[in-house]
Amino acid sequence: MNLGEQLLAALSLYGVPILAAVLYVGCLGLPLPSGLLLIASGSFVEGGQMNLWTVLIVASAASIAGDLTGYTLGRWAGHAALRRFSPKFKERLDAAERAARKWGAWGVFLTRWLITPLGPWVNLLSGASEYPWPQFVIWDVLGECLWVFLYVSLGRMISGEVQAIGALAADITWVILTLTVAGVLAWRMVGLRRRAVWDTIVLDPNNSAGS
Amino acid sequence: MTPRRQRVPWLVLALTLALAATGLMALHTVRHVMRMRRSSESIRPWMSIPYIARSRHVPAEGLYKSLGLPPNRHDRRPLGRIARQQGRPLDELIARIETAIAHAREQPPRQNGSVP
Repeated sequence: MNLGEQLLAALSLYGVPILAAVLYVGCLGLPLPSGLLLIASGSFVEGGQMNLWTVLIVASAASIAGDLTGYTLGRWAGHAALRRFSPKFKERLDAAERAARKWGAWGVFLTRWLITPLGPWVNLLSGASEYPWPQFVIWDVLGECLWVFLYVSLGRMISGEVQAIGALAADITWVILTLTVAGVLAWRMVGLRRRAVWDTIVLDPNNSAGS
Repeated sequence: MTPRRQRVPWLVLALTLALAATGLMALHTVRHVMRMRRSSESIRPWMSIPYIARSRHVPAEGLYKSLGLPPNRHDRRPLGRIARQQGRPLDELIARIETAIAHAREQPPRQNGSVP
């Protein structure tokens, strides 16, 4: 049995504590099949093996606790370390903090349920860039509750194909992740192009008039 | 070349790689869906009897009986553990369960029988 199957066997035997432990550790960045276990929990709920509300509450709480641990680590260790060991990157750190404040809400919310592989890194970066914790908590709670609800519901709907649906959900997540990266890069290219056109007009008005 | 212009080739390269990765992952996903439509999940050691019964749409009682176990809906032991505890090879248990599933599917559906 691979790791995923061993965890599924443990979930079948011991239930919610295994789910909580895997989700908590997964939110800290360890590559564990958290989505698969959530889908399996939905299937076990459908089969009467687990209680729906217990699964929803415990899974959400464990994920939020894991995210807050990651955020705290980033805030108290990551931020100080970055400032101490890389003073020459001060400007870049300041820029990262500004970006986190500007885009942080969407970043936190979307990486909870849609682009989940980035979640642990966003936790650390949010803490390290001192993204305000009340906002982090609000978007984290909303995103995690949505993630848990979606995956448990998926497991309940297709309760006899846990591994296949888990693998499919992981595939779709990676498609969304790579598509997001492509979108961000395309956006940056458009930005560079716009600035290049602007520079041509401002710095070389004769050239722009001639063209 | 200005620093901004120097970044363009790298951005084009990164964008190409990202789009290629997206295409590959999308292809993988489509193949996965087609595989799922062709065949159902095979029986694995992590599965419990109630789970197998539900996924194959057969009553759990017959599956318990095929392994020499009393029907007990609270018995959630995975097949791997049952095999270890009975001291029998896992493949043998899976073969017995598959025979029981085939047998259950040959039976006419019970009018007031329990649904797994």
